[in-house]
Amino acid sequence: MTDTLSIDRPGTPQPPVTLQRVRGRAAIVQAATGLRRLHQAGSAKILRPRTYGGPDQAVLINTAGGLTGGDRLDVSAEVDPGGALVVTSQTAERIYRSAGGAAQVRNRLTVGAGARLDWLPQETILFDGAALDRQLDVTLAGDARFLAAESFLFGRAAMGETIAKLALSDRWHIRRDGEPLYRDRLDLCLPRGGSDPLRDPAALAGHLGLGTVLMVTPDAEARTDGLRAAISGLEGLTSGVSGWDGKLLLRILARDGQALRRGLLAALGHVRDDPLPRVWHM
Amino acid sequence: MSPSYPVGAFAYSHGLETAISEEQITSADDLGGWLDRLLEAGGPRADAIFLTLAHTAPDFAARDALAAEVRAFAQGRERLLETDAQGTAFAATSRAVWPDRLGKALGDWPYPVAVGAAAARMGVDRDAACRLYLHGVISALIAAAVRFMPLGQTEGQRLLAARFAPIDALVEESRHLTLADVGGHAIMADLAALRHETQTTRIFRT
Repeated sequence: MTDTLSIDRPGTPQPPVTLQRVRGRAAIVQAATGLRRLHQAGSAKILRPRTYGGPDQAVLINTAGGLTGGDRLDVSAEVDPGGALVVTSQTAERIYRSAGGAAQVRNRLTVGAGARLDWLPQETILFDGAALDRQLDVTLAGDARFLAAESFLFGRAAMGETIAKLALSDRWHIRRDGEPLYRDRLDLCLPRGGSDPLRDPAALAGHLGLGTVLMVTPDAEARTDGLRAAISGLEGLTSGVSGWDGKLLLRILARDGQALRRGLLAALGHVRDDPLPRVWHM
Repeated sequence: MSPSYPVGAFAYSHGLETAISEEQITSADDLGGWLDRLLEAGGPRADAIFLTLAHTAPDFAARDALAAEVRAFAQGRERLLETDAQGTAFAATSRAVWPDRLGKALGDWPYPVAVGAAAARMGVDRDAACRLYLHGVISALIAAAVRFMPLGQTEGQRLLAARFAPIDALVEESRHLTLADVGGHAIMADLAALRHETQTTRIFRT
């Protein structure tokens, strides 16, 4: 699949297209001393760029170039006690119009005691007609440090596309030592009788970008003022920050993709000590 | 669930104080729409599910485990505060008023868990408990709004009456839902609750 398929161009008729189903599975295990295991199958690949200082990086690539209904992608990343890993993605993930069923994405992360994992995939772009069912399951042990940033773009505003049809379910489920630590689920389906969640003042209020940054850190409360300052004054953003019970949360609604990226870069630049993976600056 | 039940509901606005002061809500219609979104896709919808699960839970340990899950769903410090503080106050009063029936049955749980548990122990059916809880929550939010919006008491009651149908729909919908069904998209409402933490002039705790 590529961006130029006619089904992806707004305003053109939608011919019935039979696409080969995408299947991908990638798994990486990082030990304190470096890579312990790497597995990749189907359209899921992991690149390990050379890094200079900072933790090792794993860059996810979906060689299918996007996902549509019926596709399935499984990613797992595990960091052994004392290890550190930054996981990101090569490009934004595109969720194309579905001809039936949802694209299923299952991300499973495991972080051992004293270990650190940064989960920093780039934006997920939802095309008109997209159906995505995504789960992020995270298991933390003891004092594991964890940072996650995920973001959605609703339609490709640059191409004049607006979303009339969408089925999105995105679930976060983070547990620490077997206890629930953080849960969240975004459910957004269109069309919907009564109100349009993309425009409703209590829902997305016309914003095209949605970003979430969550950091599990013992000093979450003390970090709130700094994070608020780091993103304050950025144009095109409505945001909120809270720190409680060892969790630091930032939610962003952005006018467009550029504002979303500015907000994420500012926030991640502030909460992280080492430079962001290069793919974030391309 | 008498409106005079001392849970301190008057102290919490669920972010409404911010949404009104930032002029995202400027009229009775705006407020009505905002409340409808909360019932369809926000905190109150999740609460209806939590209350239902607490009502049907087999024992104290199951409700205690549910309480931990409910706390994990809180989107920010003040969202956790409003559900924990009201739940704790509800449980303390209920234990004191009905020591024989509720004395050992209620933990210091989030509000919908405590109410669901108490209702089950007192023989109040799930639908009735859920409807009363949602009426209580929506009434409290309207009462909060009346304090800093050009909105009269009568208009407030009219807004509440117009929510009876969506409340009934949620009572119906939530009857067989589970934690896997908790979800929504009231993002601006969530952001307002987060920004309330730093609002300079504030009357409400959330």
